[in-house]
Amino acid sequence: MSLLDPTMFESFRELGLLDKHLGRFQEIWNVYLTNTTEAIAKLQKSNLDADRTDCMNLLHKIKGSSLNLGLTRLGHFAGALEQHLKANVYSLHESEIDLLEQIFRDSKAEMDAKLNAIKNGGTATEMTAPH
Amino acid sequence: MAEELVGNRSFTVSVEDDETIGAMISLTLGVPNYNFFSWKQFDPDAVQGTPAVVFVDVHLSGDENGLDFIPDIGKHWPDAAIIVITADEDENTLAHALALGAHDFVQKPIRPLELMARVKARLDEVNRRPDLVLRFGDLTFDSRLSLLKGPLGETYLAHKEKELLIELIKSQGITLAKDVLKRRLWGAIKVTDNAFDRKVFEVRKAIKQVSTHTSLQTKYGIGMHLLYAGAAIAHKGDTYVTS
Repeated sequence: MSLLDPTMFESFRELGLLDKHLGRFQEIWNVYLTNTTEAIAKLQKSNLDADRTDCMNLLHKIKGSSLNLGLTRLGHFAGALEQHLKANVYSLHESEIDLLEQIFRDSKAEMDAKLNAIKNGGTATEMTAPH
Repeated sequence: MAEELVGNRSFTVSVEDDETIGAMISLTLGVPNYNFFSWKQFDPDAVQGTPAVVFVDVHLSGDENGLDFIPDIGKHWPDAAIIVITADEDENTLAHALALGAHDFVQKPIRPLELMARVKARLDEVNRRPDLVLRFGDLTFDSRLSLLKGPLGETYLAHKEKELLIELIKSQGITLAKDVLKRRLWGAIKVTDNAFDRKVFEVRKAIKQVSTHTSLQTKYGIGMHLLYAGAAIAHKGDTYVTS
């Protein structure tokens, strides 16, 4: 099952973001990767420090930017963890953050494969996820 | 793409702590987007002209709530459409945003086609508002764009300079006292003569850039007004004289 939202990808394609503006889209993707990698590292630290508010803010940010780029599974999982903390849970379990990181890595691999396929002459809708 | 969507107001502004969202807005609308990561960082004078749309995220870093800033954004750019960005589906949040002066909202994740449709709808509405272009002598000032035009060219004004020029144009050559202008521009906030004089200097410079016939005149100890010497020039026939 794909980790990315096909309808979001389709609207990117319709607007030409994945052909004539692919370079710019790739820049945004790279910024997202840097920011999310940093956010997950901060999340691990804040969780160890039991800084619940900071953890919620980081998860909220990961949720928003991930869903915005069509990384549905990651966005929803981050949202679920955020809600978990909002429900007065003291801190996250280490395995939950590990799973978040794993979904991030898998989503990244899937998106990279799509973008590479487009660069090599395919289209966004023709590809299947490497999962 | 949507270059034609925002017309000649060719940029947008966002107050959003996630730079990828600001970048996606820019890519979707096809115009530059100036992103401020927080309200602390927000500086409308750093942006020349009036944006077509200002996007405001509800949940900003550092526990800032974007809704709190909507009235100030409306004051800074009264002719810009304000669109709230939120992942929150709570009706109260959206109703509150609209009550504070937002024109519309988009939900996260931002869907590019929906974003374009909402921006178009809001701009159509904003562009139908009357009295956006003011005139004095050979000057034309488009308050939506903050764009001053004259026979020599055009230039953009920053926010306070724009407000000052609007007051002067509306007075149509009648002298306005410095204190009156200060009160209209800053309300109850105390502003030094030095700060005020800097704004006057910038407006005078802008007028000079676009016209040789219109000038900002100061009557020492009384106040200031705009003066158009074009009528006098017309009476002199072929001889060009400026006062």
